[in-house]
Amino acid sequence: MDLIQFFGRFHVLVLHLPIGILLMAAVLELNCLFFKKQRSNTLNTIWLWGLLSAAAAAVLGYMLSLSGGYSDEAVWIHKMFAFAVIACALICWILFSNFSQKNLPATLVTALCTCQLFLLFSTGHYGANMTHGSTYLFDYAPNPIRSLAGLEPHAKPRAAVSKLEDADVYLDVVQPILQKRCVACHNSDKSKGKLDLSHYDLVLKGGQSGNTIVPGDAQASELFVRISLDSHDKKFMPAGGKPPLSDTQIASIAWWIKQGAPASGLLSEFNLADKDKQVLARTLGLQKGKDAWPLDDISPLPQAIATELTQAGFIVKQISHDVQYIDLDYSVARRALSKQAMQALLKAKDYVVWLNLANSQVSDVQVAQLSQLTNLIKLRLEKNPISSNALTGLSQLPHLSYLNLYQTQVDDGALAILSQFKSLKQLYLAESNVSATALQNWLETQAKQHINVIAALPSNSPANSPANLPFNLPFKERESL
Amino acid sequence: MMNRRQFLRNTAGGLSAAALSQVPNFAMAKDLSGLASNGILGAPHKPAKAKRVIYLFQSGGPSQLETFDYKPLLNKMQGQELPAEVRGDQVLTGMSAQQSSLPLAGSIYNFNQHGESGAWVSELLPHTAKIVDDLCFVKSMHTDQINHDPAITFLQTGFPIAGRPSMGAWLNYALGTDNPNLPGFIVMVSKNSGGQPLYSRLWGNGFLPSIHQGVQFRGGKEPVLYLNNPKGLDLSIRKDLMQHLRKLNEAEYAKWHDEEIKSRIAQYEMAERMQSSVPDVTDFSDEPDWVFDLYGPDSRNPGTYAANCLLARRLAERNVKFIQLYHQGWDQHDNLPGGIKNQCEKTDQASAALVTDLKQRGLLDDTLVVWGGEFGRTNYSQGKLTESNYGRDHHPGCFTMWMAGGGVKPGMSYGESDDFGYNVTKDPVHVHDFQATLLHLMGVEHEKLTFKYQGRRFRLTDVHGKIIKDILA
Repeated sequence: MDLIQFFGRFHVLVLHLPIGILLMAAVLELNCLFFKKQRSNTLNTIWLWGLLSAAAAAVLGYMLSLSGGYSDEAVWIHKMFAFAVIACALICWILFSNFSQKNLPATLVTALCTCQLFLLFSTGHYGANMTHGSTYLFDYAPNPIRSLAGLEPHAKPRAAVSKLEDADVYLDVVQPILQKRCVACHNSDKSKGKLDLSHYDLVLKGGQSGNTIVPGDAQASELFVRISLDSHDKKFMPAGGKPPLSDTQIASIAWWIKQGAPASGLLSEFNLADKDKQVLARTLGLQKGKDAWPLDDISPLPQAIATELTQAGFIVKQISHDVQYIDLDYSVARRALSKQAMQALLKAKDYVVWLNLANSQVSDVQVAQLSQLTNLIKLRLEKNPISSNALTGLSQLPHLSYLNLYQTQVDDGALAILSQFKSLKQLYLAESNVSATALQNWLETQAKQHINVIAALPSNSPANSPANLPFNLPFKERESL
Repeated sequence: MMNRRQFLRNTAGGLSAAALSQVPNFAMAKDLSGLASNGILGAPHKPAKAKRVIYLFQSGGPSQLETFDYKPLLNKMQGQELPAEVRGDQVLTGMSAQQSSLPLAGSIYNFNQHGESGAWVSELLPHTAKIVDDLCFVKSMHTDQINHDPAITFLQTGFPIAGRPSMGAWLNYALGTDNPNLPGFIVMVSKNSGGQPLYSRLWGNGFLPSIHQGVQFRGGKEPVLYLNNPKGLDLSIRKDLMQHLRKLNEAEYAKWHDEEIKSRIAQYEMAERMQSSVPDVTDFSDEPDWVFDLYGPDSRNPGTYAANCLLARRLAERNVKFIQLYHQGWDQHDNLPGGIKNQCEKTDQASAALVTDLKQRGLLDDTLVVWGGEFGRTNYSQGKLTESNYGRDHHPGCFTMWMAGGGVKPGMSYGESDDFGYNVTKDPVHVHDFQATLLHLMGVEHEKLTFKYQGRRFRLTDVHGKIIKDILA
């Protein structure tokens, strides 16, 4: 029996010979016929060897089928086609080697050869179905071809969710995470740890350890425990040095388990705490993460502009590998902001998010021009002779959250303008001409804004004796968020 | 004739230059500034929270028990033996292992809570106590090393044996310079503070190109020597000389393709630019009186810790990426009460002033300030414990550091030690975790910053290091 199996497994090797040889014979035969070429007698030998190899493959195939493991039906149809191939090859060999083509009707030759090809492919196809599965061939076929083959069209990906409330707790939140990070190793074909995470029922059924999901208790659920371990831990998942799931993804799964691991249900049906809402919104891609870059993607800064900026005295830095916006620093040039530098700066206006113009004798007119830098987030203007009026233009910058006016000439008039800023979070006014009382009043009226103002008393103030400066700053800071 | 080594060097050099120019970030690093100013990474991996670091290294191992880690139980159990179950399997140094008794010693100095965060700070640090709401204390630091040199080397380079690059060198190698006129890594050691020796390899470049090594400013009136042109040599002659020297070096590079020759050229050019940039940064005459008052009277005396703190702020204003201060003398094996008081007096006001000063100038937003030593000290007395005097031995099991600014949460304490101040009981932070976090704040992923040397890739954090997510703002 073992020996039979040993030989039987050579079937998968030998079967390629009749495919090749008979294919060649049939095609060459047709070729001679249609192009009226001299038929070589070598073709007879080719037919014979095709016939013999087909017979050999059939014998080995029979041996293989004895080992079992294949459905009888599938073996039967493969076997029948194989016999047909051998029969057809036998007829061809006898006919073609005993009668020259001229004596045979062209239709007969054509029919026999076509039939041989058809039988060959069919046998191969049914054989392959047994090893790869019957859907293998059309798994990735485009929908029109699938429908021709009588298969269902591909499942459509779920439409992207646009509102948190419309999302399905499993299909939109949990399943995409599992699909993306787990299913490659935990599916029906390759179920590591006997765990298959491709369908809800199977997820709940669990794997080897049994308690994969304990509805209501994340800490007792093996799946949650494994993904939240230290990534150096032996039992950490995803295994094999793959990057851990993001904090948001882990929190989403924990939330789902705590809710009892439901199979479906819209998020609107759940009682969501603000924190859960945030986590879920991030998982669904409806909200950017805490550390995500706040602006839309931008193409890289053109080289010519970068060069121009560098020549003008700027230090040019890209924010990060993925964020193509730039960080510009003119302060280290330690010279006045030149006309040339200003021109270069305005050419890069869409790219600049962080800008340091400290100590560069920046004028009010130049500050006004900065209002064209609409993506500006951080602006350092300290130690420049600028006055309150210069700030008017900046108030329209939608993203400006950090503004440094340390040691500038801005006075109480600046406060009214600063009230109009849209996104300001950090404001530095120490050693400017803003008076303590005006600032105090302003801070009180601004109570609803989340601005963190840092301002020591101006150094020329009489109250500014070394003893109470700066540990005793009256409005050193004020945080309301 | 070319020998085998020359051939390999030439072809390898040519090939790698060609290959590197194909890597987008490398091309960017070269082209954007023309000075390779964006480092080997071209740009940070992630947007940086901190653009520079000021590391106030308190060398010798300051006692956590007299500064920030308040342990009243030790006062209650004053003189009693350190329980064996607390000590566990902790190995002691040869200095106290021979003692017949290990008597617990409480802090002789009182503690109070400060600020809205309610952080405990001892009476030795009145200035630091006023800024606790700007600080993030990590009370669960622990290290692998129990002796000074390996412990400092471990903190600075990620490995206890000499030869690896220092953190400042790694960061400059990764990110490049933000100011071509000054070195990106500057080191200052307080003058007149003896103690355990420091070696220049602590700020060395290790196997990285030597252009990234820390440049030490001398403590005193002339922080960098020979900045002035020698007598009888005017500027034009000097420039001429430098130009010819460069040509010679370039010819040498064309022949040998040794990257260290490039470093040499860059260092000469840096030195030339430092002739004007260093006097500018070290001349305090543009600082008003209130600044000196803020940092304390020592700040008028160049080379002291206070003056170095002020200089650190001036360097930060000029975008120096890594500013490393060392203050020695925290190694109180005996006479701790007097010794630590003296140390605190010399450093407390200036450390706090630096944070305050950076904050009001808007610089604390993207400057990370770090305060800490290489390990902690034992909760038992080394030598005789009396009512007014005791000593403490080295203790790697737990110590306290603080950080401020640069993307770290202000006004918080992270991690806890046990009531004996001996073992970490909550949220331990290993030296590699601290290093991973520091790189993260600078926008660098510690697992991705590597350098291949002697056949393997090296990292600051070796194969360890977890970012302390809870302290990130």
